Amino acid sequence: MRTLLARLKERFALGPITEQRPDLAFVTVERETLRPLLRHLRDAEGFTHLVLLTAVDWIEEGLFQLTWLVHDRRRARDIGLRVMVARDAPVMDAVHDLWPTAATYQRELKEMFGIDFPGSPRIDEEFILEGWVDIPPYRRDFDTLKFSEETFEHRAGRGTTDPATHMREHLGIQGGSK
Amino acid sequence: MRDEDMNERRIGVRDELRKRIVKGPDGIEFEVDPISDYYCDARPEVRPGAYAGIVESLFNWARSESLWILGFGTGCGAIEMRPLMTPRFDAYRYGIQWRPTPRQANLFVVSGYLSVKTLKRVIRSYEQMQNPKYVVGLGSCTINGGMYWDSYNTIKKLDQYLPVDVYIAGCMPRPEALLAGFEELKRIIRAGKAEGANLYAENFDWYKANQKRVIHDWDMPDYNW
Amino acid sequence: MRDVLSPFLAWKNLFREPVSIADPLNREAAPRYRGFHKNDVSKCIGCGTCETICQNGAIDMVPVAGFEPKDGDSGLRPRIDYGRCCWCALCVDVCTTGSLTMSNAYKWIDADPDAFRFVPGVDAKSWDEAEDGYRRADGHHLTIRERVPMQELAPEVRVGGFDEIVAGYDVALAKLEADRCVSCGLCIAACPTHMSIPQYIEAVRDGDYRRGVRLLYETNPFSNTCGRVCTHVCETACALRNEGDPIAIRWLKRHIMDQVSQDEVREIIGAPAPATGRKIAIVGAGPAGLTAAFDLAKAGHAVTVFEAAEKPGGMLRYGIPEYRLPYDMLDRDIDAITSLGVEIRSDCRVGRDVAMAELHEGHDAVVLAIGLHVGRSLRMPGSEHPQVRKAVDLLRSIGEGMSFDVPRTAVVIGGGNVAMDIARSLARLQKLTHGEVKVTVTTRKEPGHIVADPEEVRECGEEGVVIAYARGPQRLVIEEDGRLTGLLTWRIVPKIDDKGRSATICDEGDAVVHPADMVVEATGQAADVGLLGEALTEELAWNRDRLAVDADGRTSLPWLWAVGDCINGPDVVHAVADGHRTAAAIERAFAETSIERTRPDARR
Repeated sequence: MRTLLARLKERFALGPITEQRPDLAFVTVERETLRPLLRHLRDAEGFTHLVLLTAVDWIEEGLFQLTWLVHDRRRARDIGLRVMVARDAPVMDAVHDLWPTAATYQRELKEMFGIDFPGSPRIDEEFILEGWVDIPPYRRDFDTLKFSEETFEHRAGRGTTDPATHMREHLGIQGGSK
Repeated sequence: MRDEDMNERRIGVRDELRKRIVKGPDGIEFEVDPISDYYCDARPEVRPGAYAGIVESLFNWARSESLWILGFGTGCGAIEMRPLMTPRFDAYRYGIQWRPTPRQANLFVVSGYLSVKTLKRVIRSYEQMQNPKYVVGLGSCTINGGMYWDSYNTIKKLDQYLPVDVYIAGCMPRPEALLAGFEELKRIIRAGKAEGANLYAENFDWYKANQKRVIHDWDMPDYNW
Repeated sequence: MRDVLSPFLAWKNLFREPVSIADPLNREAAPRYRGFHKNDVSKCIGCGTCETICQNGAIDMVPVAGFEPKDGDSGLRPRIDYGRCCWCALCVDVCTTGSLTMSNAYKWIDADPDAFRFVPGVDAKSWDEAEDGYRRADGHHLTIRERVPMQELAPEVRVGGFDEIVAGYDVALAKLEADRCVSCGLCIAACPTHMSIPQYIEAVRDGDYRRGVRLLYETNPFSNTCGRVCTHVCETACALRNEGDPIAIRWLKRHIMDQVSQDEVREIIGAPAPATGRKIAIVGAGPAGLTAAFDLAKAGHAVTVFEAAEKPGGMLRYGIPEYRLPYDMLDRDIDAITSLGVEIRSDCRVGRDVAMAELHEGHDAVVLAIGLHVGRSLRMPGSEHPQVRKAVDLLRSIGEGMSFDVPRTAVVIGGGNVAMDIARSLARLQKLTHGEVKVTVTTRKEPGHIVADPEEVRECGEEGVVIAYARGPQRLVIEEDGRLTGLLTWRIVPKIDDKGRSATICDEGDAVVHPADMVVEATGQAADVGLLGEALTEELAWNRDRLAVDADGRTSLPWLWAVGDCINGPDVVHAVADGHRTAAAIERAFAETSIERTRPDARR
């Protein structure tokens, strides 16, 4: 893995590298580097299998972190490529021409995170959700409990009591902050 | 009213459901509106017991002893029906069996959580079942949302959308609990109290309003069978 | 051929046992099956930890008839919604008392969807008596049972001086300890001054010490002090005491104060409200008096505190040894109070330097916070001997830094915390002066029944103090030359009397003389009410030897209030609570009456 990373470093501008295990490493790259790097990994280094494409919402930093995990079947090792994209303009290059399966992941990310992959097949069609009306539900600023309470009726008759408040009220406790 | 309603909603309807001109094999062109042409959309009617007294009781007994379940697992609870179908619990000895199509079934077991997307299919399947028909709510999810209580995509109270005859607590209920639930349902049927289909017809507008409130892409007739 | 025969071969299975379960409708679940919930409601304390841990929002805490809130029990019980529950049993695993369990019952069928909600143990269910079912495995705990150990001075080091024994947590350890808290809030009701305990523990967890100090000062201006010497009744109400050690609430409080500089503390307290023109005199600068002073000064009243001793602090300074409460920590608390403009007149004894009548004349209200500074004597033969001393007097001398002849051997009579304080103080002095510890404490109690805190007793032993249990003091042994040489005690034998009550008798046959150059009586204290003067003493209502007061601390005279130890017995945090209560009552009284009606000099 070390030698592979060293080799890659010579050809591509790599960002921070995390070596999770001897057979798994994560590399953060710029958007422009991603496609050439993936193509190189697939064609020259034997990473023939796209395991997954997923996203993490770093809402505090205003970024989405996209991860392409590719697998080298022969040497049983994985490498994950990470690209950070701006949360307010989430667009990324599609890679379905390298791996057709990527199209499905890209549709999913479009629907669940609102990350666009221009040119990806059926990218604007509904994927899992039907008739979705709110912001993409996997974004962290989507409040699922609030949405659930507003959209669906919950069974009436529930209601809880805070032990400390209950004791205050019943024992006539005045002092202290509420 | 239905047409405007549908036209308005048809924005975003899938291509195959749109009105379109089709050329027949004889060369004649004609208009097809899949949604109104393929389904009967007459409103359901309340159908009181057809016979009096002892005959109706006999019928009810016969109905109770032939619970034919629609083979439609909506959620994870469906897994508990597998041991029932197979020799281990052998539900067939209790007159319970599974059918592949709603036309042949009279019992819908909503087996756990229902996403909005599945709810749509459940409604269509339920409406296609023959009267008299029964619904069993299986597990916490059908009662008050269960572990999906804060999910953006599952309904919380099944009885808002379909008339439910019996609930079985559990997450998931064991096959034995399901059998006990079916026995309870049989008792209710024999007592002539399993009036779900009539309840649905009576409160049709209320059920439809509830269903449409959560299903935003309503691209089907209001009632179909 | 096979095709023809095989249908007949199937008959060979005719006598095989079928795989089907013969009677699935009456089948019992496994012994440890996670079925429907049970709750031993008499054991449950309503802490709501089950509700907090439930990921499905299935549990509500609801009031239940027959369970009133009391110390360490909120009176609430969990109600479980089987429209939410997923039987993960986290509630059972986390239950602090182990009262919540599960039966192995699993069948509940109902046509009414609203029926699936019940309070286990209260709403009768068929599985209440079920023996099988899931309960937390022995030794399995989701909470951390042991408290984070506190760094302390080793016994041989600490006995050589008056350095503070407890080191206090550092930030990392305090966070670990704060993390153990389940934030149930049962402790709030138990604390006499109702501190916002879960909230300030949360502040420790978040590392937000300024918020912590703000919360502390809402209810307790003696947080440096209470963080060290509080009797921490909160810790006896802590839900986690059922699991193991209660949260070290007292030490976390101290930790907050340790992290914030005194300047910041003063800044957080802020400025008092605009002056109201009311004047209040407080007699005694102990915790009760100064707490009342703090509250009243904060509200904008002019407060003067009259203190007979050289320095303010009362029993905190002159009763509690320095190794438990360093004087500079007490000074920090007092400094925060005086920062609000409270005037403390030290060395000013009411009844000698100023008369009660003068205080009454010049103030809208007078608060007596005179504490219990007179030691009680057992009055046994020989107790007039000059080498028979009272613990409070001796502790005061030590606090004042006055020297006295440190006895080579000493006996302390009494089994309370004061006895421990004086015994351990004497041990230190002996170590410093003579190089060896020879202190014996005699108590009437059996081991394990002693009044003092267990940790005090333990530390006492570590420092070389001997505790003689079940000894009843009889008389002092005085030689013919007038020298005190010891204390004679008889063994106390527990006995059940004729009416079935437990009583004690002394066994004269088991007499011991404890050698002593000095005998210290730590057998209770009384208030010095001489300052009131005869006329006032006559005028006031009394409850035996204590002033009679109402629930707010008001005496039979509307302008005179009494708070603290002299009313409620010795305890710092009770004194603080008392101070708050009386300050609030004085505020209310002021609101009801105009300024002219309360103060004699303004009336003129």
